Amino acid sequence: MTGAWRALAFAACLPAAQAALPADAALALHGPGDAPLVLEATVDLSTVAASDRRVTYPGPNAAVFIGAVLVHGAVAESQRATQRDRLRRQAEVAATLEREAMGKLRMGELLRRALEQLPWQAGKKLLAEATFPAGAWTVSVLPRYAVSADRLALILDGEVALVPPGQLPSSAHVVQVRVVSRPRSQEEARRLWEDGGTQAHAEAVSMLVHALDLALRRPATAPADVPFRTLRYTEGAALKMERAQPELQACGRHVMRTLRGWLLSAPTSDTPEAASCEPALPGWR
Amino acid sequence: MIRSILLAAAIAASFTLAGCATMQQQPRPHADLTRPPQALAGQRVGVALVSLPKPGVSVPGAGCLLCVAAAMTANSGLARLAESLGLDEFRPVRQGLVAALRAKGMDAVVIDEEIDLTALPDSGGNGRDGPQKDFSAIARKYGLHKLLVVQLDRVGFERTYSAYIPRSDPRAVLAGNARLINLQTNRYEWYKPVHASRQADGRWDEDRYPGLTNAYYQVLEMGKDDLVEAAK
Repeated sequence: MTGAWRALAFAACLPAAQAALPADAALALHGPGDAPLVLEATVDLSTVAASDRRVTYPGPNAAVFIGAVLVHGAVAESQRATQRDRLRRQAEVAATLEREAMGKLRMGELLRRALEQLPWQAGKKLLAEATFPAGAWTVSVLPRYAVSADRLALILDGEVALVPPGQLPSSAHVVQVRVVSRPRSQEEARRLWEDGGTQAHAEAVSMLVHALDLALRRPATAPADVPFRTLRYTEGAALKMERAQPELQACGRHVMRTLRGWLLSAPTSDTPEAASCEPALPGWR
Repeated sequence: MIRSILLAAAIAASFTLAGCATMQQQPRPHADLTRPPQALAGQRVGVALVSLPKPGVSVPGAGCLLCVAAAMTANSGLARLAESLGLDEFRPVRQGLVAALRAKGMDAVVIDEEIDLTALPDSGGNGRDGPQKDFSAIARKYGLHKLLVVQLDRVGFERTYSAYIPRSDPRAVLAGNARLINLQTNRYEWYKPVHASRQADGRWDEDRYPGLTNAYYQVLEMGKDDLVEAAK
């Protein structure tokens, strides 16, 4: 990890101090190198549990008893770690095709294409390194992609750090954004990964554009007078729920602020409005 | 110190045992009880909630008093979280059930008051074919022929243990049932158990437990959905 990323990682621990970017601000985009994209596989870990066999602890004295309890704890944690690793490996194997296709897209190309599509009126440029130029906001993004458990949707988790012009990384305001792609049928999902994943790459770019757009334009925090509600959305074929503050609803999507303070953009349903939103709002499909 | 530990264990045991005192006997299952609620024309059905329990924490598998005390101490943060959460999001299940019954042409109404079972007289029923409590006063008050009662037995968080050691991450849980009582025959006509559980998405042990709080509200919705869907 470069020194600039280390500084930004430290800054992420500090309280947010900045509002959204001014609309007339120039921005300079920076990302984590040029490695091939890694696609993670979503795993359901709810079945992970250590053995429920009855345990009898030896107790000739307190030290032996405590030692036995500690050993029991270590064994239980080892069992759970083994189960988690096995479930993750199974999910990765099941998503081999998708992982290989996504790996054909490199981070540098992803950022370049996203910057081209980002609807930003003021100046924008791509930085090879985080140089924090005086005349522009430095926008550092760390995107991580995953495929849903049923492999019918893509999920982007993006950490976006915004540094005002000429200021230090310690001034960064960090926004976590999660974008869930619209659900696809089995046939549509299959086509997404054909031809080396061309459509999937385009979808990944579009989702990153959407994430950046939200991070740059949404206020730093939700208004205190917006009550939390339990909002429903789809992730692939699965119905999911999130306790969150609603912020926007457009193009068949909810944009909400979660209990963790993240921005979450997820599809509510595949409605006709979704198609009518293209191409004016990249990533809102 | 040992006296303090034993006292804490006894207090913890009283927390875990208290919840058992108000459990209703389960109806004897037979095919008719799984058929969705029915009502003849002219029959009025009220939908009511039994007084809802406070969200709490359970630690099944912590089989000894000291184990329970240790588990409750280790999960004291979860207990404080449970105490801070409410059940207002579950109360609209009545409206959902009324809508489902009306869609089938039934005359259904929401009963706003929550029923305190301990304040009702006994009916002499065996709790299997019909309720052990007498709901006739409620029937007269609201002009009902049938009463659909929703009861939550357990809501909050659960973490399974093997003696002193946690077996799993904590999860949000909801357990209860809905039953349709024919107030003229005092027999059950429909019985639907409900159980929902969710783990936190991501880490569960973050400051202020946002993942588990999210899971809690998810199980409230899942429980409502399950009951309303079953009533259709």
